[in-house]
Amino acid sequence: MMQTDQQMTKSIAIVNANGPLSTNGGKDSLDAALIYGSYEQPVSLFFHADGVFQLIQGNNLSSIEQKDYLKTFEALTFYDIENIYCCGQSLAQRGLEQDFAIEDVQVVNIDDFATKLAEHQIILRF
Amino acid sequence: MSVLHLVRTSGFSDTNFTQCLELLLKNDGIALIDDGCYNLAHPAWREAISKISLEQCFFIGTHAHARAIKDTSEATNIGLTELNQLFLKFDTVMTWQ
Repeated sequence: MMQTDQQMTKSIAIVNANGPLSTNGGKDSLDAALIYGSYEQPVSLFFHADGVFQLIQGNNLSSIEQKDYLKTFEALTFYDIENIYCCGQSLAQRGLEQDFAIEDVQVVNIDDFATKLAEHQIILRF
Repeated sequence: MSVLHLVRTSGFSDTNFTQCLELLLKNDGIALIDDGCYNLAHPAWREAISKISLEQCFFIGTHAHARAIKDTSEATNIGLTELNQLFLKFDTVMTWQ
């Protein structure tokens, strides 16, 4: 039985939980997001715990000879990736302002964050 | 929508388990596998049970016994077959590793 388009398209949540320099997870998750986006799959990005460090202004990875993948965040809109959620509790725990290096970040409280995450069929955590 | 949270690491050595508890919703389930079985003795395990319910808390018995973790009434001892059935019972699976 052929599946309808609607059944074949699954929404994907990509969760970032580590800092930009702590693991390769940040770069890998961005690659995954852009690949899914290029196939027009609905993708949402979630930043939780130390993952919120990837969003803040002033990261300068190239200053320590690391590939600055954070600049690639600007390509997200070209791939229609517009749902970017940031955990407000994680920001507060780390004393961070809502001063982000990219636009259209939606800061939500932890319950809304969990609820939005649960709405996706596939959840990948990096 | 319900999520089965698959926790594979110990809450005594990293923050995956406690981060998982932050995102745990009422209809969700939690399954401890591999080193995640150590979380049965974690102080925050009671919080997990109170957030969802005892019937939705599981651990892989063989993984726990391999780590000298005794059976407990605070979670359901399952095997890999039952784990596969849980994947079908919940809408989504999220792995914490």
